[in-house]
Amino acid sequence: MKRAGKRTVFFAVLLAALAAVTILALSRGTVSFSPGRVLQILRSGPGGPGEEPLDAVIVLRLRLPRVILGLIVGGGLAVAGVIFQGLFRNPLVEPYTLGVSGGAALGVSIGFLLGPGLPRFALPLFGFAGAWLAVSTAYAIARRRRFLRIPYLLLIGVMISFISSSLIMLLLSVADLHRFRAVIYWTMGSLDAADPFLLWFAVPVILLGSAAALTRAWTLNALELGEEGAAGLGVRLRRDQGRLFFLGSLLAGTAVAAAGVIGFVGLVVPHVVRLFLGNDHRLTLPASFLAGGIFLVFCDLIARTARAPAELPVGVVTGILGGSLFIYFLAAGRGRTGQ
Amino acid sequence: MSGSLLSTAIWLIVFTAVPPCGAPESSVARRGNLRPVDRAGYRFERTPERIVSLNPDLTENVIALGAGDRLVGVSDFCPLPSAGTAVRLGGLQNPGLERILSLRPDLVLATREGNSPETVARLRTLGVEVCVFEEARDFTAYFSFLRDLGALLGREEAAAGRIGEMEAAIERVRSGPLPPEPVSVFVQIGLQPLITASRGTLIGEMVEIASGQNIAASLPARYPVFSREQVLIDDPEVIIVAAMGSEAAASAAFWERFSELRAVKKGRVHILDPDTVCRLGPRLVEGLERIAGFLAGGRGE
Repeated sequence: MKRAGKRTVFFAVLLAALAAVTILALSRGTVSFSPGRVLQILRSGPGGPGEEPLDAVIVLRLRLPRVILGLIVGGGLAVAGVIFQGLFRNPLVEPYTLGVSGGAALGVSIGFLLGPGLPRFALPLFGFAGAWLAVSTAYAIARRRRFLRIPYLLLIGVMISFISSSLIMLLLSVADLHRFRAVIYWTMGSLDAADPFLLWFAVPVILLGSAAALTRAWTLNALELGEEGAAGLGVRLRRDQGRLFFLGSLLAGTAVAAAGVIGFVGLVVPHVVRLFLGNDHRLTLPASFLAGGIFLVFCDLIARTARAPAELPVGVVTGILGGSLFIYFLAAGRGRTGQ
Repeated sequence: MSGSLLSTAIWLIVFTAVPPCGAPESSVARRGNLRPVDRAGYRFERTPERIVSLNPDLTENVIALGAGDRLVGVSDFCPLPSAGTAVRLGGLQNPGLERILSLRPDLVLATREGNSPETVARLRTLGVEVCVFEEARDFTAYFSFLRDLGALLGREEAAAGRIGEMEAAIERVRSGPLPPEPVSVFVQIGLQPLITASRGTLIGEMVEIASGQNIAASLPARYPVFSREQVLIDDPEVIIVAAMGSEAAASAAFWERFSELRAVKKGRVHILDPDTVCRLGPRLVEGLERIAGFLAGGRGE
C-alpha cells in the first residue's frame, strides 16, 4: 500500500515536471517570454506566414519542434536503455553499447562522403541504415537455431561498435577534415533540427516503438528470473529476446538518426527510475520514457541558454548533469536504505 | 560508451585541427626557435628548390607566388600545381613520413593549426627543414604571411605584387559605394548546427570593411554555434550564407520559412562560395567585393 502510494507520487511528480519543463523550455531562450504569453501563443496556434508576431514565431517554429524532438528522443533513448539493460541483465548496457551509435555514425560518414549533392534528409536516413546494419549483423552472428546467445550478442555488439568507430577514424584520417564537419557535429548530438522532416520521421516511430515495448514489459519482467526461469514462465526465448533486441535498436537507431549521438540518457535515466520504482517494467518503461524526455529537454534548455546566443552541444550537458545526478541519487539512495 | 569515446576523439581531432571555415589558415612564419626570414636573423642559405607543402592554403599560395614548379609533394587536399612533379602524400594529420623523406625536400611547409606538432617534430629529428606557419585571421596577418612566404621562396616581388593588388581592392571597397549606415549582417558558415563567424575571422573582417555590422561579432569563439532565435530577434538586414551545393539550397530553403525576417522579405539572403572567404588566396578579393555588393544593396540570387 505504502509502495503503491510512492509510485503514484512518483508518476505525479513526473507529469508535473513534464508540464513544467515544457513550459520553461518554451519560454526561456536567448529572450524570455512569460509562461502566460507562451500558453496564449500555444492556444492561438500558428498564424499565416508573415503576420505572426516574433515571439510566436520563436515559440512555435523554433522552440516547439526542439522541445518535441527532445521529449521524443530522450524518451526513446531511455526506453531503449530499459530494454537493453533488462534483456542483457547488465546495468552497464546502454542503447549505444551494441553498435547503434557506431553504426549510425559510420552510415552518416559514408553518406556524407558519397556526395554533398545528397538531399539533407538523406544524412539521418544513412545514419538509421548504418545503425540497423550494425545491430542486424550482431544479431545474425549471435543467433543459433533455437537460441539467441545473449552474452555473445553483447560481445559481438561491442566489437561491431569498435569496428565502426575505427572505420570512422579511418575515413576521418583519409578524408578532408574540413568537409567532414557535418559528420563531426552530427556525432555530438543536437536537437536543433533545421529540417521538420526529422520530426515527422522520429515522433511516430518512437511513440509506436515505446508503446510496443510496454506490451512486452511482462517478458522483461520474466527475464529478470534468468533465461531458464523466463522459459519456465512461457517466454519463447529466441523469438521474444529477438523482438526486444530489435525494438530497442529501432528506438535507439531512430533517436540517433534524428538527433545524433546524445550520450548518457539511455544509461542513467533507467537507473534513476529504478531507484524510485523498483524493477517492474510495466512501471519503469513509461516512467523512463517521461523521465528521459524531461531530462533531455532540460539539458537542451541549459545547452542553449548557458552561453546564449552561442549554443553548447547538448551531449556535454547530459554527460555532466546526468553523471552528477546519478551519483547523487545513488549515494542518497544507499544512505536511506542503509546498504 | 563507445559512442561517447568516439565523439571525444573526434572532438579532439577537430578542435585542435580544423577551424570550421575552410581549411586551416596560416600566417606569420615561425620555425621553432628559428624564423625562416631574415628579419628574425635567420635565412636559408639557398632558395628551396624541392618543397613539400602539407597544407592546402600554403600550397595555394606557393603556386600563386609562382613557385608551384618547385613543389615535389603536397597533402591529399591540396590543389596540384599544373607545373612540376608534385605527388600526393596523405592527409593533413598523418602524411607519410617515409614518402616525404624519399622526396628529399629541402623545405617542408606546415601550419600550426592544421598539422600535428608530432609530425613537425619527427621531421625535424630526421633532419628535414620544416617551416611552421600560423593561422592568418585577418588581412594584415595574411599579408605578412605572404611577405614571409615570398622571402622564403625568393619571390619577394611576386608577394609584394599580390599584396598590392589586394590592398588596392580593399581600398576600392572602402571608398566605393558603401551603405551610409552600418548594415546588420548575419554570416552563416554552417546550417546544422547553425555556425556563424565572429570578429577575428577573415569573413568577419570583410563584413566590417564593407560597412556591415556582424550580429555575432562579439562572441568569443571564432566560429561559434549560434542560436536561431537570436537571428530572428536581431533581424539582420542581410544574411550571407557561405555554402555550396545542397547545403546552400537547404540554407536558402531554411531562411525562406522565416518570411518575417527583413532579409527574407527583401530578398537579401545571399549565397557565397566559401572558398572566396575562407581560403587564403587571391580569390579573397572576389569574396570581399561580393560581400560589399550585398551590403550596398545587391539583390539576392
